[in-house]
Amino acid sequence: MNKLLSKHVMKQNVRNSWKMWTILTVVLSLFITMITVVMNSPANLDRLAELGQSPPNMTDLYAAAFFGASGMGILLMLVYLITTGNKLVASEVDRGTMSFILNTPTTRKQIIFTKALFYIGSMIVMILTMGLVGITVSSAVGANINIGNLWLIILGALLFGFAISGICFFASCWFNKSSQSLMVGAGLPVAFFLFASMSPLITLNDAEFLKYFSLNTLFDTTAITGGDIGGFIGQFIAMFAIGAVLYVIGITKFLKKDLPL
Amino acid sequence: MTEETVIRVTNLTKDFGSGRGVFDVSFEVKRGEVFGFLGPNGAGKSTTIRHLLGFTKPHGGKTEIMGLDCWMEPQKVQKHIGYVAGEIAFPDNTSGWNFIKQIAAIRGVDLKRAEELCQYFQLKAAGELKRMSKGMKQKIALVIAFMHDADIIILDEPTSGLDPLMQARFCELIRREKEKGKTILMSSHIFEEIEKTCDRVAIIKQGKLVAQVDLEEMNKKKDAKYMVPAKFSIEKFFMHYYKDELADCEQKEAPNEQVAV
Repeated sequence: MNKLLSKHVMKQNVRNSWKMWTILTVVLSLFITMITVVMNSPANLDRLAELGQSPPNMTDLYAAAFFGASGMGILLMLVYLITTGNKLVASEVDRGTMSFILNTPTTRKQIIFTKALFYIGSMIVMILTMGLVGITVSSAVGANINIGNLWLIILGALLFGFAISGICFFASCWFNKSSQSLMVGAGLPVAFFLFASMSPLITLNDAEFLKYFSLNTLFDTTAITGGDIGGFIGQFIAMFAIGAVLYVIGITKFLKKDLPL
Repeated sequence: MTEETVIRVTNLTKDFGSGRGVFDVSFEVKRGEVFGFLGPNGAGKSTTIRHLLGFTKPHGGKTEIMGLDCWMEPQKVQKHIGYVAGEIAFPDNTSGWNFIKQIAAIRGVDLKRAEELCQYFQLKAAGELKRMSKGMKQKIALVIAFMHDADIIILDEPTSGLDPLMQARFCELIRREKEKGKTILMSSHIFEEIEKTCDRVAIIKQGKLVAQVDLEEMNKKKDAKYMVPAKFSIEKFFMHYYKDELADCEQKEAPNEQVAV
């Protein structure tokens, strides 16, 4: 590999995280397959026809159940991002295991760029796998699906994941203690998730403002499925910018900070 | 022995606030020398060592190894160093031998010397790292520090957790490495170990270097003066600088003794 990356650091991170990544990805793939098959089973389609309804729109369903900011896919991805994010840097510094890799000609730059690449890459592959499984199974059962919109939703999920992973990565780089890193790196994403899930309920009580305290609000799948480009393009850019800024700050901090190793 | 200075610490200052840190520490270690670093916990031994490894940025002064600034060019410096950290922690999902192999691969060295060292320390490294005792982990760290035949070995309390037999082996290893022309800097709490291995000793107190002695010279002096082979005692020398603290301890213990009587 070139000078910016270290294949040994990459291998080490894969070794640390592949089990959790694989379990979550397999569970999500099975779940998306199951939902798709059940929703499009002859029995279900017959029942919907009896009620005078059209077959389910899988794009809307995927948006709500998987890729949306409160969807199950995003929730499990959050679990992956939080645990892996903390393990990536803060835990290695806190426990002291990083001293061994630093006592080789591997530079801090190589370590942190490799870790960032691994982290973003594994998140992208996880979401893309879910998306491809959904599209494949939907086509196989001949479901009603708008693939163009679904790709836009997947892109949104990727950007949302990028922004959230930016928070976890930043926290992991900024703090030398796992506990502090988790407070920010897990605390914020979980709080965002709770605010976003609560805000529709609290609308009645005039507390809808809560949603403005959540990053999840930026990822609005109804705007995408509604086909209103102006309604989501700004949010897409904002999510990318938030993620990029947090990664840059995290990397810069790691390159310059004192390591208690 | 050439008189080339290999490790140079110049007016190193790192202020952690409330009197903690290191202040204006200067010393030099020449090629082929074994340099002991003596001081109680929190005196600043590890802080000084972290600067030499390039893990920490000085507030003032600088640390150089082979003429290279340790903070500015850590990756060049690391090639010449074998390091055992004061607090050893390993990744817990691998075996000891696998971990040794990984680090050897990153450094690009073969495993011949690692195998010899394992044998020397009677270490069976095949087991899982997380199941290993403190002593076994310490042995693994020693193997990793010595296996690439680095010119400079930096050891932060290297024998903690080792049984007396292995401590003796460790002292023998240091002697052999010194014969090979290696430069060694080690911190320790064990006077006997320091006396057996070191050429020169620095004593650090509350972040300041309070004394440096050449053990060989001190032994010669004593011999000449008293005409008896009275060995210079590093313990007495050390206690001389910490007599206030020792007096404190005695005062605190005194009332208890009276109660006991």
